Amino acid sequence: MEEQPQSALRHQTHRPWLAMLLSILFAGLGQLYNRSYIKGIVFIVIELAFIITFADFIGLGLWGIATLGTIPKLDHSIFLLVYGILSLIILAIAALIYVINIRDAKRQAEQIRNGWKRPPLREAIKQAYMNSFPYLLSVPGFILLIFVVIFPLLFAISLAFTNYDLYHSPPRNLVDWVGFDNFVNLVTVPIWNQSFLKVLSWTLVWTIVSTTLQIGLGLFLAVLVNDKRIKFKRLIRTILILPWAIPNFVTIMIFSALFNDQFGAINRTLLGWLNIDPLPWLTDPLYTKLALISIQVWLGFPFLFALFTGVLQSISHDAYEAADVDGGTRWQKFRYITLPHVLFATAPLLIIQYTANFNNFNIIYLFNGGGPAVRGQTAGGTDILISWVYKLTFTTNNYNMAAAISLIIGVIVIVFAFFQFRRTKSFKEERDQS
Amino acid sequence: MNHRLKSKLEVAGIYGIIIVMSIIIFYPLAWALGLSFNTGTSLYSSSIIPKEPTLEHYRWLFTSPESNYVTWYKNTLIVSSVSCLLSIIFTSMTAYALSRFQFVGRKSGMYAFLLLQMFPVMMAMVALYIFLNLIGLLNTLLGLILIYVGGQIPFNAWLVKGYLDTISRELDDAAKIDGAGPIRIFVQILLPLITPILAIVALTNFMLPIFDFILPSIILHDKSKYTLAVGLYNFVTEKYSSNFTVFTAGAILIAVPIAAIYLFLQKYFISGLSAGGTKG
Amino acid sequence: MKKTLMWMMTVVVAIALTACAPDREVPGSNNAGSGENSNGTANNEGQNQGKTETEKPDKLVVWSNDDPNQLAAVEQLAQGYTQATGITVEIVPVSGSEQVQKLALAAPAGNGPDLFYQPQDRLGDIVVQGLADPVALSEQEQAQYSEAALNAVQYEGETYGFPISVETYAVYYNKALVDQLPASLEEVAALSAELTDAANDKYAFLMVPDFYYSIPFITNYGGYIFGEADGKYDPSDLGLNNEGAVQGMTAYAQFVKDTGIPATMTIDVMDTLFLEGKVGIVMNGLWAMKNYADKLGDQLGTASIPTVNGKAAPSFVGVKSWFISSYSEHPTWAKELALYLTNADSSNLYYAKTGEIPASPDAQQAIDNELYSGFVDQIESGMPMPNIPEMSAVWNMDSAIDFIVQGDNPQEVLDETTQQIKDQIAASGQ
Repeated sequence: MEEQPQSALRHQTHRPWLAMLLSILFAGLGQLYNRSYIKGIVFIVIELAFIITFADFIGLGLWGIATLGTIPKLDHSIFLLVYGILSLIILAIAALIYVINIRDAKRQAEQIRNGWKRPPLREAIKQAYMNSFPYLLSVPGFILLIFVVIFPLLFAISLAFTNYDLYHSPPRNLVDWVGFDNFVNLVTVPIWNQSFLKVLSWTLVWTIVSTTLQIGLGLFLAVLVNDKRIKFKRLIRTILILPWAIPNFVTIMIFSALFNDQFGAINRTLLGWLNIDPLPWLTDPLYTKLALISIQVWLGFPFLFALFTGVLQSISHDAYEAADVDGGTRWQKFRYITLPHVLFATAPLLIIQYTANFNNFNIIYLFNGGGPAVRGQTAGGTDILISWVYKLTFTTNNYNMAAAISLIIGVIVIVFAFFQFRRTKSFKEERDQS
Repeated sequence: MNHRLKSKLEVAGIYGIIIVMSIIIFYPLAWALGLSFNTGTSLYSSSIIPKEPTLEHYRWLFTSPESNYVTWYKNTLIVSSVSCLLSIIFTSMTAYALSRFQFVGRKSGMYAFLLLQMFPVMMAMVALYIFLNLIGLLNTLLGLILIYVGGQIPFNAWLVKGYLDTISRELDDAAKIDGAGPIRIFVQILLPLITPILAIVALTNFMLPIFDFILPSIILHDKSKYTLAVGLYNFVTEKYSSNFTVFTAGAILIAVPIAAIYLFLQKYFISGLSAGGTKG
Repeated sequence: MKKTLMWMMTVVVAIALTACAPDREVPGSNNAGSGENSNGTANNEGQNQGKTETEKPDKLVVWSNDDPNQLAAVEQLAQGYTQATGITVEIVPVSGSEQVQKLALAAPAGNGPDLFYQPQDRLGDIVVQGLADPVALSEQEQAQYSEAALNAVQYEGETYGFPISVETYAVYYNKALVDQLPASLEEVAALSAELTDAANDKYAFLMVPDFYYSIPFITNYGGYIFGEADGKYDPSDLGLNNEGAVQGMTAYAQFVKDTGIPATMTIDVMDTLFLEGKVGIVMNGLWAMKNYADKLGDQLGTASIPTVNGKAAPSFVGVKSWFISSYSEHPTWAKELALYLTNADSSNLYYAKTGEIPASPDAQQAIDNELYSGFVDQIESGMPMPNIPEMSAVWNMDSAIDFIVQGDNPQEVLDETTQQIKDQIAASGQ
């Protein structure tokens, strides 16, 4: 801007508001006005293509999500809901592009007015490429994410506000929006509120105990095997991560057979040797809980073992040597050097472990179906929230309630994880500063 | 002397613990192996070593006209390798952008996705079903692959980004001065440095289709398109015709190659996982 | 810029909203490729002849159960139909337990079959969701099926299904251990004194202690599941905690105790022990026949369940059937195919391939395998599994039976469970 352009007058008459208005009218017009012909044509083609491709679908989708259909059998509410959500997503993407188009028109017009000189075409393309490079890299992944993660999530959340159950099931019947009715039912209808607190408390115990134990065991073994006096490390590590290499559902089912009260190998062989009476692994809730926790530890510790082994190798020897000079005991070294380092380094992954166990449907469902049954409640003695929801909703097709409870579970987990993440982040920053 | 004795006792103690752990690990696995050689179809057996060992279940898997095991194995390998490859491409692209460039919604977006994925997904499957049907990918391996690839991005991009952050930007800058474009910087300089973490991304994404039975059971209808996990799972969920022995035989044939892969990739695995996960 | 974004969104949404109620003149405009009939049978409980389609289709799609034997039988029958009519029949194996769930998504999406397979106890679910249409059968067509089977595939006075086969459970016994079957189940307890030796896994009598198998103890003492009025089940009338049901469950707890049946007995364990020759008598379904007969050979015998409380013991009877998808574009032809698949000749072949008892009376009489007599007898006194959707809540009784067998007070447990069933029915949204 320091150099006064030759045709300053013409530039000064260039109006950013006009460029903006034109781009609002139809994407690309503002760019044409700015004499960026290629860019303008690209925007125009994009908008035309968008309208031609999606107009009908979006029209149907928006109508569908608002009404969820009006004629039973002809209109399929669930399909309409899906189309509606997809339409909203597509519209949001379109709106984003549109805003970019308008901003671009305005900014360029302003630049032109201020006497900016258009670079040669090749230069311009190169610049555009450099500016948009990070977006080019992340957009494909982002689009995939929207359709694979966000879209199903929106669908599941929407269902919580409908009456989608067996008697309101398409194709024969329509689904309707019911607002917060499902959440009201959750606290007022006996089968839901009766067992909720009991199930929630066991879910928390289960999450905390099983995850903490698997982390503890993983760390303990990692430290032991890391000892420099131990040989055959490679072999030992392979053995210790073996449970990880077998599909979970296979192992859980085999465990389920091994734990059978009368005929399982655990009661027969192991306890037979020690001359202990058979334990009621599958018929007494307490023993089933013990069995479940043990199995989860068996399944879960190898990942943490591998993780901790890696972290231990990255701790520098200096700290330990300094501690040796000071005459620190082994426990002190572990407590003040190893543990903080390991926990600090792996905190986010550990949080993910906790949240995963909170929703660990497979093990509960496959081991004993949430059983044994408990008097006076619809939930079995070992049902966690997610398996209880499954039982209550899929036997009677109460999809709306499944969605409502899932929403609550989701919020609990996400809030917990969010605050934990925040804590680890701030913790980290503090350390980084010190 | 006393000191050395103590040290020896300690080492013995550690080995003792490791041996106990190995027994606990191998005990159920040994039962599974024993079952797969057992006659009949039952999950119950009176001894760990079958009385009349037989290879009939293994033979059945490969030779019976009713068995689709080989097809399932092939499908699984296709899904696993393609989703593994695509995952590496998508993940490293996203992670590179996240680590090396400033742009709108960079960090909060990443954490938001990571959190959103903790949502229980029971009802979400229906949505995916209808969506895949809409775009014509229902009952295809490609549809399954796309969902696997998309679903893994947040966690793995976060891991890889953490790893990339540990690599000094001076390398990039030096290359930039030499006139290298961002793609060349990434492919020629950074990519070789992040192989350990990419090995993990590759491995976990190779494993996922082998272990998951829920998603494919909803998306795939034809038995000839099943992956191993669904196929095997169906052996044991038929109410009146569970076939546990064939199930274990099939499962063992999956577990052995996986265990081998773990063995060979162990080094990468351990170092990559820790470095990536720690710096996110 | 945020403001601009908001503004833009509003405008776009507003335009789109006003622009677009779908044009109802065009059939199927609401979803891609759906196979609906243009004259959609929305509210008329339409008989299939209401659909004016007679043109011969090129292809019919059938969802068969994925059991290998059934699949082989259906495939062979379908070939016969193709030869006779020139219509190709595509058989898609879909696990029976997943068909309804998949159908609800696949049929409206245009991926559904013309015929699908289900046991009759799912009929209520199917009708309530509008997945199958009722069929009108002429008298001659009706004669193709046994009366009991035909009754089982009716819902609220309309016939929906084409019965294929009838299944139930009865008792199998090992002739090497039990030469004369006791006349009543109560007497089995006496037998266990000499045969049962739990330490060595030897048992006189085994059954899985759950609701499905213990129903005779409820009915024979005066309990019932749902009351019946005008040939319809009344879900508000539960008879699972009346005096008779309590007496029956008390007797059942005593029976389990006297015979020494382990509480965690599973089908899998029971089969293993019976095949090893360690169990005298087991209560199990027809589906176990082949497995048992292969291993035990001549030692195997079958019989109807011995009496309970002095009366013939009823068992739950399931009727596996074909249903016409309400999304079928060729319901008339689908009906013809279903009739063909279940006629006497086809039923004979089906029996030969699968060992299931055909629903066709002619084919039933043609069975000359002695082992089947026990089951054919049992079906006489069987009761169809209630086919209303409310039945799914009744399975809470499985837990009730667990408690009672473990020694809890039957009256209390049954009251509690009945209340749970009522609550669950109330919460199911009807």
